[in-house]
Amino acid sequence: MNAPEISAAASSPGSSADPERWVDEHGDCLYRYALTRVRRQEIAEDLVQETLLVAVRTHDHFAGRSSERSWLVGILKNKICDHFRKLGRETNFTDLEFFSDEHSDRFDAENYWIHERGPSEWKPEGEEAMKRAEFWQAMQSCLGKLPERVAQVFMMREMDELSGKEVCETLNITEANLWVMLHRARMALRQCLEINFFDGEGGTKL
Amino acid sequence: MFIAEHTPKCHDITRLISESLDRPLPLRTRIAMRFHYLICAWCERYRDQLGFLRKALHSCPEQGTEKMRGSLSPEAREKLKVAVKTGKRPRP
Repeated sequence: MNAPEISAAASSPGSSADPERWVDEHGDCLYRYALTRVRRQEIAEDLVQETLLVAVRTHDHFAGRSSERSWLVGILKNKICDHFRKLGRETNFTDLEFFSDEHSDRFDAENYWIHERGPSEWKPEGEEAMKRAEFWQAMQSCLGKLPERVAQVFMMREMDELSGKEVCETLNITEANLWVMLHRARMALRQCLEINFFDGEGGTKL
Repeated sequence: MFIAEHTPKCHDITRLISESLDRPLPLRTRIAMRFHYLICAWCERYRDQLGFLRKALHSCPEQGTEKMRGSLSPEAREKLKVAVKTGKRPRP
């Protein structure tokens, strides 16, 4: 993955670091991202701090090729990966209930969708949904409902954009395990967003 | 009916749709999935929705977080400002 902090390009003359402004402009977003990932306020705050300290040290090398936000987010993603790598095997790996076939009520005995419980048509559609605060708040709460280890695996793959192989190496899991967890996470997240945000007609409502 | 009998069931298709987002699937499998979509609007929709989820999640760290809930506490914000000014972690 990219390592923005070791980018070798020179900074443009006159661009001076203003770290206190970073706190004001990006602090909350970095914090929300970290919190979504690690779920503990103190750890999230620590990760944001470490990110900003790296940014202060390496600002001279930030060439402005990406936005300030994505530069900072890139550093934070590295910090989050380091965090989970260090955590290693300490986290509890068994979420048996989640892995029991909890979505089997959506399929009939022959494993076809039960028609009225199949995926419903989503409204508003994608681009429109992504503009809405309610969508992201539903996303935040649905991600928060995934079992901890599944959430780590899933978000590392989809948000940090590590390859499956890299996720396996970082979190020390097998590929077969990875695919099962990603499949379950996607199915659960899709269903949760359908229920809590999209007003499709076919979906079961809470 | 011929198609239904010769392609995987929806339950398996959903698993394959997920796997296709993480690794290239064999041609034979991809063809079977295509045939399945011909008879199953639900699985096709499922595929499109997972595709959308991926796209949304990619944009989450930089853009989605703008709209999420939760903020740094005033103390945490102050602590961060001290830290970046001195370049050190503040000692408690």
